[in-house]
Amino acid sequence: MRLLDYLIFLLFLAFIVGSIFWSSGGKDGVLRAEIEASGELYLLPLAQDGELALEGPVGETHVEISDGTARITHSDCRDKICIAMGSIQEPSQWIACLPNRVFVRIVAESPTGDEVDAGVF
Amino acid sequence: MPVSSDHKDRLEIVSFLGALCLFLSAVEYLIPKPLPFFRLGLANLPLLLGLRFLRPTDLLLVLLLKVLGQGLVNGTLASYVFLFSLAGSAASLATMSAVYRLGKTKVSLVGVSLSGALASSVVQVSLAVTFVFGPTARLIAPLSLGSGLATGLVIGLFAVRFVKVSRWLEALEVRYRGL
Repeated sequence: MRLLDYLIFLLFLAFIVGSIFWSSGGKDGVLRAEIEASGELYLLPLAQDGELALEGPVGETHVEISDGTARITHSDCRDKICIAMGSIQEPSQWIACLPNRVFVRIVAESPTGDEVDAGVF
Repeated sequence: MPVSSDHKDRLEIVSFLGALCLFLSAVEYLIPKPLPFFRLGLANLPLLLGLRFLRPTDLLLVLLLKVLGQGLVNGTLASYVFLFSLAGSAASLATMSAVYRLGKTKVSLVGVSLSGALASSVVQVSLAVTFVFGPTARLIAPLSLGSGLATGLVIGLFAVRFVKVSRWLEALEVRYRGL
């Protein structure tokens, strides 16, 4: 082992450390609540508080977004399971109200806008 | 067209090294990989050793034979993986040559091998991010670089030892230099 060997080794380590930061930074991108109800699709950014009233087969379902989480606050369905499911905030978490045909899930949008999709593979 | 015997000898040495790459690719194929992109890079050994005495054109020929051999053995010859392999190997060889020639006595084959592994990893991850898989592909960067560091080190240390003890390589070098 000679002088440059050590330098190249250190440079390599620096690249590895750098790549760890590079790969973990901004991974999640912008989080949104994707809400499906009666064939309509709504996209609400989690960063923005708000409430949405949706019409379904058994009545109204209210989705509320506050403090970066989404939850169902009111539903005219029988069992209220959707309300019991509580708040969601991580990508791929979901809430569903089957009787009223409402489906809420969190999706992450990468900052650049291109995501891996089936066509890529 | 008449071919001089010197030329024939050169061709023989180059094709032998290329065949060695093919053989080492096959050996590597037998070794189970913990991760799909974790490669030992055994097939880089002939290039690393050839760097010491081969002329640039002959080195380039060995590189092409190596990439073709790997493509054949791994069954990736007709896929985009082959382009990755080609780009990574070319970047690796260019960097190794530069480091070897500029470093002179300050660098051993360990440093040369490491620099090649680094270049190959960086180029392949960049290609994956920009052309094939998009930003998600940067998740593999630390893994690709980490495994590159480990295998680059192992191959480099082996090469240093091999150069020291191999009579066969010494004889090959003497024969090539006499051409």
